[in-house]
Parts: sequence; structure tokens; C-alpha cells
Amino acid sequence: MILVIGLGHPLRRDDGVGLWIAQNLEEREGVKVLGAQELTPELIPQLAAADLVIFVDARHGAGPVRWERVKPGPTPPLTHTLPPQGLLSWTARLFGSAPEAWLVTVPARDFSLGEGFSPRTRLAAEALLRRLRAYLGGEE
Amino acid sequence: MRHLRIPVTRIEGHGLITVHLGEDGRVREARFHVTEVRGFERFCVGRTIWEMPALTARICGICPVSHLLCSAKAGDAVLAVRIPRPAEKLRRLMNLGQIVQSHALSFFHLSSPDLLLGWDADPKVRNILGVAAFDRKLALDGIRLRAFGQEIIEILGGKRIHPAWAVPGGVNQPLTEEGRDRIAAKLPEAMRIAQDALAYYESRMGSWAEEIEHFGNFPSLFMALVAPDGSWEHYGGFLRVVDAERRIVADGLDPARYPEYIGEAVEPWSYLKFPYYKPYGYPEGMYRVGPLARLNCCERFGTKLADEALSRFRALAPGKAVTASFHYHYARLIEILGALEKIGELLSDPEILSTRVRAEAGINELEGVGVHEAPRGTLIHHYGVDETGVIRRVNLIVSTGHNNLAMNRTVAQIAEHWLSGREITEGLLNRLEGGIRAYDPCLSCSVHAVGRMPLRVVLVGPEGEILAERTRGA
Repeated sequence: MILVIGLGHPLRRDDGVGLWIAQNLEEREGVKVLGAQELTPELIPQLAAADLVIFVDARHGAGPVRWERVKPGPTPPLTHTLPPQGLLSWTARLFGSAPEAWLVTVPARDFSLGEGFSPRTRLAAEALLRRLRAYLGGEE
Repeated sequence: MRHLRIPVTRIEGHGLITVHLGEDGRVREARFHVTEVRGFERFCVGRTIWEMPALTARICGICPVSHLLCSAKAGDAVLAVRIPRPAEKLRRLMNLGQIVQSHALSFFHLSSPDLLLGWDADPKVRNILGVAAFDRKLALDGIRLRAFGQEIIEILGGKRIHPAWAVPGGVNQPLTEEGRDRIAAKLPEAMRIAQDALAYYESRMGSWAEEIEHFGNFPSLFMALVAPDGSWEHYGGFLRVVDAERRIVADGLDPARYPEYIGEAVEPWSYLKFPYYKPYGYPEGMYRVGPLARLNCCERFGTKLADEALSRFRALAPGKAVTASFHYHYARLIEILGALEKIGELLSDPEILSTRVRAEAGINELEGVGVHEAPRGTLIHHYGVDETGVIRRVNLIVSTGHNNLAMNRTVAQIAEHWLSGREITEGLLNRLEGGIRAYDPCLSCSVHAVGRMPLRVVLVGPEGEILAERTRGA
């Protein structure tokens, strides 16, 4: 199973891009899509059940959409919010192994209060959505 | 006079404790400070009554559902409507899910490190990480139980954080058959976890005897909603006040008339107000709310397993109220169990799938009060509106505020017992934090906090000079 987790704050403009991806990406056989404002411990059992996890988040700055492999890092305290590496390490600690995981970051620069993306983030998000649909649909 | 300043962590938000010593080195006074402020009561003015549930839900990311439901109830009062029965049942279902997830967070994530590893354990391992290393099942159980409560919220509200689902007049979408079945499928595991946690607590109580005796163990009033028949309540009913002897001091109190019996005092050293029971004056009118108060105030829970547990809880103080704040943990576990039983009852009620979930009305009253039991205790939203429903005045009294006097009394009691000389031991720090944590205070809610307290300990001398300072990580 492939698990896509889109992260972001819906009222912080470009910060909400991961959430927007999650809202617009269709689930299909073998693909589960979740939107979240933060990575919380309750996601651990879902990670444990996945073969591949794709985290989508905003990245402050310019440049292209980046795909980076993430692996379990130091195990942080289990509080309300965890980085992807921490979530993976907790998954490995509690379930014996962690799935392969990628962090996909979308360039963003407007984190002010409000809705709607800046033009560059909007274009990058739409391109990423097309690519994820193609990839998850088995076209890539 | 000397002052010890002790930051508090692993609560919702951050606080600060100062212990005031006399010249003889003995504890003269202790204060639990809340030094953060946001001011939701001010910036909601000018918005409409329809926006208030979604707006006030933003007060807290941990208990948004509590504010959502309470605000919707205040909106019901402004509309002067009785919401459809299925809508009330759905709101109850969501609040029970909220109680389960919030209590699970408090017990498993925040408090279990102290309970399992001890207050004198190395702080490097005295966290949930240490718990996982020591007892993997307990850590996983905590995650799964909280996830269950959050899933109920997500299924009903469409999302787990800040669902804009409850509205004045009811709720904006019914429960589907598929949603009901998803919740029901996971209920047995949640019940197993709750029963295991309760059995664990009951089997370990003897090892916490000293903490039970000195973590806020004093006579006080207790206040909570109870159903018309006196049973445990979390959504409707009336307010009841009992004393330490479990004598009913006041009963059948109309929650909407709270200003007649609840006063709010202000102290210059805290942004958090100090509510008190007016007939007893300030500060003698100190009362506690939340799980401990709800169990002390009710006559029965109303479900089989929780009532069996309640009878064991009552045996701690036969014929009287359980006055040890340490047992907030115990009460929390009993409430999780009872909440799960009540969730089961609601799921088997055919009306829970009804699509008649909202009453439509305009502005019929210029004032509305919503009161219900949030996981941490009684929550009050009071709005004044104009003829068009625009908010003119807001007053919020949250559970952490109700418990403010008791939390201050608790830190003083702990300092009196564990502070020896001038040494601030790790054990003292941990117990002060643990004493506060027993109340599961939510500072985000109580003052709608922004920012974090620095994690430091400062020893201040008689003239205000800093004698020593100590910092540690969050």
C-alpha cells in the first residue's frame, strides 16, 4: 500500500500546499491519501501498514519541487507533532520496521494569513498533482 | 524571602511555578503562573454567531471539539431552539470521542512516564520514549486509543482537527452507516485497552501512596454537570456542587445563570482568572472540575463496567469525596471506559443515522450561554449579540481556569512536603510538574496561549537577585 500524507495549514497560504495536494489526489486501489496539519503519533500504525510513504509539504524558498528520500532519524519524544524522520523511527521502534519514505517539498514563499497560493507555488502544486496522479495510476 | 522558579512541561502549553520561601527556609507560598495571553474574547467581537463554533475551535488544537460543541450550544440559546434529538446524540458521540482521545493523550502520552518510570527517574528516559522501551504495548495502546477517539471526530466532522461540524441549531451532516460501522469495528479493541489501563493503574496505586497523599490532597468543593437523575453527564443536565464530604452544596443549578454563583477573581501575577463559588467567597470558594469532580458529583455512571470501577473508586474514601488530585488519573481512566460504553450504546441506537440533524432559526435572543463538560472540566461560552447576530460580548470560562485555585494549592502542598533546604532536586521538580499535570491543564485553552515558557529554574534571593539558574530541554 502507498500512503500519501499532505501536510500544511489551510489558512497560511502557501503553507497549505501539501494539504491541497491531499484534498485533490484521488484514492485508488492500493493508494491511501491523508491530509494533516501536523504529523502526529496516531499516524504510526498507518505508516506501519504501508510499503511506501510520500510526505508532501511546503518548503520555504525557490527552486523546483524536490523529492528526497527520508529514513528513520533520532527518535524524538512522542509529542503532538513529529518530523517525518521521527515518525519513521517511532514506526520502526514500535513495529519493527519502517516503510520506504520520500519527502516531496513544494517551493513556497507566502506564509501570511489567508487562503490561496502565490503564482509560483500554484504552478508547482498543479504540476506535482499531475505527476503524482500519473505515478500512482501506474503511468510512470 | 527566596523564590524558586520552575517551568512546567508536558502539559498543553507552558506554565511557571514560583515557590516563595520565608527567611526560615520553609515554604511560605507557591504560585502556578500563567504568563501567556491571546485574547479570543476580544477579537471574536464583531464576528457573527454562525462563525463562533469554527472560530473558537481554534483556541486549541487539542480540544477544538470542546469549544466547537460549547459554542454551538451557546448559538442554540441565541436561536432559542431545541436541536433535533439525533443532532444531540451526534454531538454527544463526538464529545465522547473527544473525552477518549484527550484522556488517552493525558494518561498515555503525558503522564505515563511519571507513573511507569517514577518521579525520580532520569529525565532522559522519563518520557514516552522511555515508556516504549520499558513497555512497548502500553505505548502502542496509547497511540491506538487516542487514534480511536480522533477517528470518531474525523468520521463525524470530516477531519480530526478543527472540524466545522457543529453549528447553532444542530450539526451540518449526519452519520453514515459506513461511518457508524467503522467506529463499531474498532470499539472492542478500545475497550480492551481501557480495561488494561485501568487494571494497571489499580494494581500500581500502592506504589504511589506518598504522591497520592501530597499531590493536591485537600478538602474543596467539586463542580460538574449531572443528569436530571443524578448520573454522570457530559453534555446536558444541571450543575451540581458537592463538598469534600460529598454533601450536595448546590444542585439543579441552571448553567445559563452561572454569573449568579461563579465569581472570577484576578491576580496580578497570572493572566489566568481565578473562578470561585460565590456563596463561599474568594478564595474559600475554591472548587475543582474535571474527571475527579464529575465522579465525585455524580451518583452513578450509568454503564456496567464504569459503575463497577466507580464503586472501587468510591472505596478510596467511603461516604466522602475522593480529594486527592492524583486520582484525576484514576477518574480519567474510568471515564474512558464509561465513554466507550456510552459510545457503544449510541451506535446501537437507530436514531443515530437519522438525517434530521439541524433546526433552522434566526436570532431570537440577544444572549446565549453554552455549558458542557470538556475532558478537563466544565466549559462555559457566554455570548451577547445584536439583532443581526453580530457578537458584542464574549466570556469564556474554561476548565483550567476553574481549577486555578486548586492547582496553586497543589503546588504549595507538594513544595511543603518535598522541598528540603535550598536544593531543588530533580524529584521535586518532577513532582511539581506531576502535580499540575494531574489536572491536565490546557493553557492554550485557558489563556489561548502563544509561545512557550523557557525551560529554566531560577532561584531568586530576598532582594530579588538571581542566586542560581538552571535550564533543561523541552
